[in-house]
Amino acid sequence: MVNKILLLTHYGWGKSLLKSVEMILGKVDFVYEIPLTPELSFDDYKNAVSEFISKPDGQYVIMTDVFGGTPTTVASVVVKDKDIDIITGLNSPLLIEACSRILFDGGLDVENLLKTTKNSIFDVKKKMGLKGSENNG
Amino acid sequence: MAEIVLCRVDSRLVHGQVVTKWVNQSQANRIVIVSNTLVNDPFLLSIYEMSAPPGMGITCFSEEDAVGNWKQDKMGSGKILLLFPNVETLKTAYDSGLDLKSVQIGGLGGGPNRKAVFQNITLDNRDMEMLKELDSKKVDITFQTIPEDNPVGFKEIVKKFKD
Repeated sequence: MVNKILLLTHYGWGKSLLKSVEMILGKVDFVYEIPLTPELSFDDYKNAVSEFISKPDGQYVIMTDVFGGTPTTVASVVVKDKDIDIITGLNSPLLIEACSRILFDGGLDVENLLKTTKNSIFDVKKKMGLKGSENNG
Repeated sequence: MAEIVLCRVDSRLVHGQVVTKWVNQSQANRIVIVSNTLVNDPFLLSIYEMSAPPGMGITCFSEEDAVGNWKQDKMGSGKILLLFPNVETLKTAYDSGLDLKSVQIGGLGGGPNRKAVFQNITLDNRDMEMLKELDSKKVDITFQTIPEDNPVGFKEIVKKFKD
């Protein structure tokens, strides 16, 4: 089971997200980040990710911020033939759930994780019944 | 014949800044990439295709085919955002007959012999020589990362490079 997470984000906001997640869950020591900074070329970044992922110190899942950006593209190229999954659309509910599974269950199942978190973006007022027609529940 | 609405050198090719900013700004409806490496990497090209805005076609040509297509019918039709991964590819294509009027330089990565000349855009001596040659042939060269920045002209870059 997946027990480590590698975050790949534009300018490294995954690190800040981790801090925020730790405010909720407490210390988390199995999440890493390789920031894509403006001066890095595609190959610079690819080499950094490739080198990191070649160390056999756990079963990783990669989480990236946005499809179409260099972090996702690089991840796709680097783990194309490896048994490592990539989830894009990183957000707080996703990382909290992923870390919770690793903390409490010792590991996570990527398919289950996606099932439980992919509805994490919604209109709150609508959900609370404060907006829209009666039928919208 | 197609119209090149933006010609950009950018080592990351199709990526966040290009997909979100430059495509909209330039009103391009096609992306054409010139790269001998990418033309032989169908996997990476398919990722680029999937990450392009809906309806936006992506074509990748080798340097030779790009020039051939240009000479034939100016690469067909549409408004093209033309992308090169580095200055060398741009220079080779230009020298072989791809007559470009203006070129925008974006991120080119870093490296031991590269000097930052504008924000995070770096050049080495070879890049500088090639750009000087293009400049002498009246190609308008500007440096710009995103549309919100003011473009910086080549003269200013030459000064910065010497400093």
